[in-house]
Amino acid sequence: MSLDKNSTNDFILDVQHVSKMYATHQALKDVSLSVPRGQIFGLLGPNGAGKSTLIRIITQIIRRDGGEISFNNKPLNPNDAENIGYLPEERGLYKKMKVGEQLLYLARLKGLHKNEAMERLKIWFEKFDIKPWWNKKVEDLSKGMQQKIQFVATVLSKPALLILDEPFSGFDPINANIIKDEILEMKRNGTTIIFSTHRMESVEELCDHVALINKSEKILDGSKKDIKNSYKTNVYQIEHAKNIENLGDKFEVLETENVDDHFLSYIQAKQSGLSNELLHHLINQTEIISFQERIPSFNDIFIMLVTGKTTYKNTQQEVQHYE
Amino acid sequence: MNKIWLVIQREYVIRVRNKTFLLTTFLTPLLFAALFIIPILLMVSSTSNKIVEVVDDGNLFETKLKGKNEFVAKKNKMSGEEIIFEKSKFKTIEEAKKSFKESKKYALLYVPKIDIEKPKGVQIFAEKGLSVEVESQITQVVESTIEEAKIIKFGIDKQMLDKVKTDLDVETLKTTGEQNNSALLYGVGFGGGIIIYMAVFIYGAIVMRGVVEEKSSKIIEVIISSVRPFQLMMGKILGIALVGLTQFALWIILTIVIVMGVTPFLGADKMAEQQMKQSTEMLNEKQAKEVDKKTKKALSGINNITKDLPIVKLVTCFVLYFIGGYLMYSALFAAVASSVDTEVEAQQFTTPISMPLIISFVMGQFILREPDGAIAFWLSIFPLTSPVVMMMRLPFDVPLWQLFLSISLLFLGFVGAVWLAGRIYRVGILTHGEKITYKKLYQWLFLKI
Repeated sequence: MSLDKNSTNDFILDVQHVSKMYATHQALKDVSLSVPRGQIFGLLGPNGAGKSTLIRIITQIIRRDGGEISFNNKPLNPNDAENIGYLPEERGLYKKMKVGEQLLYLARLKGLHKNEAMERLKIWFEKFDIKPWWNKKVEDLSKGMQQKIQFVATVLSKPALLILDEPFSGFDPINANIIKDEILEMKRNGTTIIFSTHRMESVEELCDHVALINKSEKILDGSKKDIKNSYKTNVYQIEHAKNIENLGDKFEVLETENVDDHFLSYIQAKQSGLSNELLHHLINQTEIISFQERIPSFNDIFIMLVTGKTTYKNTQQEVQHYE
Repeated sequence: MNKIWLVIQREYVIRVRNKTFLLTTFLTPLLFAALFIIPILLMVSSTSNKIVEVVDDGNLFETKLKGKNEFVAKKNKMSGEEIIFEKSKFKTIEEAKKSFKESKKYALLYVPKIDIEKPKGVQIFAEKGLSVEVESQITQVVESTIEEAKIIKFGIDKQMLDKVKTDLDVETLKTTGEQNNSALLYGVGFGGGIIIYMAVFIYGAIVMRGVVEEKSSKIIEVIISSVRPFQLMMGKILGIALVGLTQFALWIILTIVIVMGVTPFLGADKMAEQQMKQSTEMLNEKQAKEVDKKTKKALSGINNITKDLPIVKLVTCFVLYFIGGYLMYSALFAAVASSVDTEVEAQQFTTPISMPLIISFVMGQFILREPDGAIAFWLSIFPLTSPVVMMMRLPFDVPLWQLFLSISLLFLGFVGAVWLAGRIYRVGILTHGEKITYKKLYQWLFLKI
């Protein structure tokens, strides 16, 4: 299902009908997706769905069996590696190597000139306030510090396309925020970011565009707004003091439960845009403590598409299970 | 190409700067030098005379004692250490044995009344057990004394006897007239073979550890998103090869410098003599003389080494076989390391792979005994064994066509090994937590990824 209503055709990356077969297992099945330039593209999916395979194909770590990929409107070729930054989910650095040297080496592998790399590193070390780390061995740093170093390594070459696989894992909230700000800053500077994650709250917050992969196939693709709108269920969540009796034929009470000294009800409207009408009915019957339309979160959509379970309740708890 | 160069640089620099590298590079030559120097120092410093008490019932040593109580039976020219035979105060061996314990003398020699034509019953007693060396020296003294007594008894003219003794020095020459120095050739061949054998294992293991480290630290995915796996593998192998060559060059230079620097203070002659002595002590005098001459010849050979050995050919071949053998084996080691998660697992796979190398080392004895034999020939042609075996054969004039065949096959073997390793490596480095079998490795060869 494609919900892409984006009129611009400026895609930095265009994946068409890509498939990949491992010995006995189909990892990707005819996957097509287009990543708009300058946006943050959320690549979602449960574990083992094929996200990592797709990323490895884009980063040219492994080859695809079939399909076409173009980068900057030209067929993807080995030289493009210099313009694609990649932060894998499994982080790792040379443990015995010094931080500064290591970053320099990684930057030069990305085609950066030594002097240029030095200049940029200085800026980053000042920005993150980590100057004393330059001559430290990686193994002497804490895990969070190593993550930071790895992030710098990924973005140092200023790639046009940045692929971040679970970039916030391993960071405390403060550092996660610093990283988030850097990601947004890079977006402002024109970098396109593919963002693979299980954390739906960061998807809601950061992504402009989302694709969902499940069981080797793409099952959803579109701008965040379009997706959300199309999954609206017209369910309202209301806290009220007294029982609700008659709401007419446009509404149906799905469920009512007792919460402390009041009630919590989920009410299904037959169509959208009926909130005022519903309020009107309610005001006559009870005092209203709270009233909100249940707009599905990406959590809800994710779980609904992957497990097939529809729910109008908050699914935050269940999602923890997927992480 | 530029990226391979970056990888080579990193692999080289981090290892050469490493403390362990510096330590082994500078300590090993000291160790080598010590092997030359310490025996001499020991000989020079430990000069204590050994007194042997003699109960001479047969009056064998009457003439030597000339009325005195003791005489010097043997003297070590180098250390100046003497073995002194001292006439016992006691008449019977039983009495002598009783008081021997407290006497702190080295040994007690008992010569009974003997028939010099059939000497029997000579005994040596010692508190702690004698060194083989001293025992043979004492025996020699007794033997020569008996011989002298015989000469007198049979009325043989001593001068005549000396003339009968023949001392022939046979020179081994090639038909071209060059000198052929088999002892030296043996040494150079064996030495070259062993060095290559060790180098392949030492530096191959470093490659293996490097690959496992990259894999287990998970940095591999970052690296191969910028560099092709093959470039990474080759960069690593070549970088470590340079480390090896650097280390060897330093070892050779430093050992030479240290030995040259220290030996003048000890006297090079002494050193040479000492080495000869060590090897000849166990033999009887005639054989000893023979070996003695050979060693001297070998030593003189070292002096004009350029004359005796095809030095350019040897060095060129050493470098070729070292590089070829190392590259081939370390590529295989890299492949193995890429497919496992820990060093321990890697070790299980390296044993079968390095079998040909071990075999060629074990066969060294046969090869040197018969450097032109069938075993030597085939093993020196087959790429997995040729680096060690051909090095051993090399000083014995290997026909040029065999050398070319062997080196070409080694080159093919190296290309084949690198191809094979590259195929396995690219799959292996991305595989985690799988149980690896040879069957699986074989499948990987033909896997499209």
